[in-house]
Amino acid sequence: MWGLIKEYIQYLRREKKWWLLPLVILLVVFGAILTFASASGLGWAIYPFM
Amino acid sequence: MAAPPYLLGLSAYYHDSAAALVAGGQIVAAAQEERFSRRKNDDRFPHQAVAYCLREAGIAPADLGAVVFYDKPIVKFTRILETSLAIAPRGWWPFVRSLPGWLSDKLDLRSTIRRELPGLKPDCPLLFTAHHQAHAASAYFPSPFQDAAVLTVDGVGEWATTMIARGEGNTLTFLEELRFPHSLGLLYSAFTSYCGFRINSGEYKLMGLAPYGEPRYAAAIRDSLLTLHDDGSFRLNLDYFDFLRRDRMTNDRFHRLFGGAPRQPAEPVTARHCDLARSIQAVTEEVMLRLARHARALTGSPRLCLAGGVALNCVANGRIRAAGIFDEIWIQPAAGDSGGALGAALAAWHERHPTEAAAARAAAPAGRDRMHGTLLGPGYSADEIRRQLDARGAVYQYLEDEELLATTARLLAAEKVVAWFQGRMEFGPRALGNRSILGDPRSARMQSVMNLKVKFRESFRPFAPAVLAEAAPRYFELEGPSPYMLLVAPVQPGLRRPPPAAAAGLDRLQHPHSEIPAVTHVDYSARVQTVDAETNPRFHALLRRFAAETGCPVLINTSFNVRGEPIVCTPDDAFRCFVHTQIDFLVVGNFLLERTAQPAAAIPVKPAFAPD
Repeated sequence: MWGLIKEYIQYLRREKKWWLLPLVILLVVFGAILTFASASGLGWAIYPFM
Repeated sequence: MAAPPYLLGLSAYYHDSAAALVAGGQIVAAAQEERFSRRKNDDRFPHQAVAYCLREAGIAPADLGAVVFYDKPIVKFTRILETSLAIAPRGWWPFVRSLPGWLSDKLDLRSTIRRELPGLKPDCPLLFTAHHQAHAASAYFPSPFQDAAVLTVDGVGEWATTMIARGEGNTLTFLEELRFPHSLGLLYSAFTSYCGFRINSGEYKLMGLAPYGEPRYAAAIRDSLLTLHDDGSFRLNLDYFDFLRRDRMTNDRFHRLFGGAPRQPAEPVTARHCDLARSIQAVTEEVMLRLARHARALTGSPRLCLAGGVALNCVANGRIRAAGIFDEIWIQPAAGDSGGALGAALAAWHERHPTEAAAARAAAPAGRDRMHGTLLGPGYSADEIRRQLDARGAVYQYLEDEELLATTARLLAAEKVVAWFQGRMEFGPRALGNRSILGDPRSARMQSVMNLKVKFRESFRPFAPAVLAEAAPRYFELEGPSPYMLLVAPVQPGLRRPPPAAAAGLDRLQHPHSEIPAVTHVDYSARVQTVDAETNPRFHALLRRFAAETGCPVLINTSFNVRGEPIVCTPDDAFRCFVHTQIDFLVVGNFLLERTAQPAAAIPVKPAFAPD
């Protein structure tokens, strides 16, 4: 996953698309929550709000 | 001397997943996942296709020198993200719905490939080509040309929807591209969907419907839907399309322009749908002709290579050939996304092994392509065929080659429908004589018999002729070969029969249009496959036998499947398809089976397939 994030940042730098970075970070956090929630005891607390 | 590295190409996760294996610049094997999974246009990771490719080469995943995916997921994801932002907030819901798939599988493809393909060496490179780079590589590298203009046209890859490149020796140089959302493939798919057919598989139906109609809406398409330039580039008027915002292609404004709501799949096809099909076909041909002229001007090459989903539009391909823009045209038989797997592997091979690639290219026989007749899928020995037939309790007889050919030719001449299963399976959407259903093209009733009783599909859909390559000019106005059934050519005027003046629209189907009516479309065109002795000697021999029997070197050749089902892969698939249709005889290798002789106990439960 970290390799992918690094690659994505390199891509955004190469293409001068820095403005997308906040959104990508948001999506990564969102994705991490989804992944973490599905594999941990946090699921009961998160799923009722989704 | 060390063995050449094996490169595995993959396409997956959009439609038509496939795997292809290349070694030393030679294509060892290639197959679509749908043929194994029996799910049409299967888009899942091609586990079974990969397993087949490795089995064919006798290697394990640890022996692979690289795995190459056919597009760049980061760039594609960014395009979808940017598009959703551009039309926010309306485009957000489809984007959010697609997020889990992206985050779990499609974005971090390196992890996905390692997870789905266990056994890869830890240092095995995982590479990515651009989508149109893969298409262009699949079009140019296996072609018989040493230099060529390369034109790829499809729905969308990362950003590119159309690309022009120049192939020279071992290199592809990308010259120009047209970017999303301005896409000829998406425009054609919008009409496919509007006329009630499924996107990514119903485009053939729309093309087949076109000759029954008039181009009444072509002016409206040109005036309202797109701004077309001389070089073939164009801009779509997005006010008429919904594919950016929702899962549907067209919006109410589009529907008002063309006189009504989209046709539902169960509704009858009317003259309006025929006219719409004809109109979008006319515009597509116009765009393709302009693109071809521009590619010629840009590259200066008299040879053209084509790939991408739109290159399966054999009517447009035929127009390009007939226009004389290029001296020679070669079209990748797996022009759609499945061929991207092959292109990805070939692109990586040429980039990473330029010296060996140059040597392999120089050693290749002049004038012949490197696709091996696209017979790149699994084949089965006589023992294996017998084992699979016995497992079903099938009743068969084994005939030696000469007797088999003579008997099959006699059955075909007696207007029997024969399923013909031989050798290695074809790679690409066309059956070319190894997984085919054959019939007598001279029979006026054969088109409707085969459509309604054998294929269970719409009666308007035409069948294609397979013709001995040496006899093709006597029957069709075709210069040069068409080995992959990707060019439409007119039937020779001397063989045509004019229909009654009053006949119009789908009524024209009732009247024979030529001496070979079952393969002559209502506009006297035919989607020709030329068969030569070197590429497919067994099918060539059958055509010769049929010609000796009847004087006609042409057979109906349609894919061995029924509506909604992928083309058969194994002898067992062939038997199951055979007993559930009105096909009279099945030939698998040297085994001959008659449908009415099969015991009831041998007939398996009919598998359910989704409608196409």
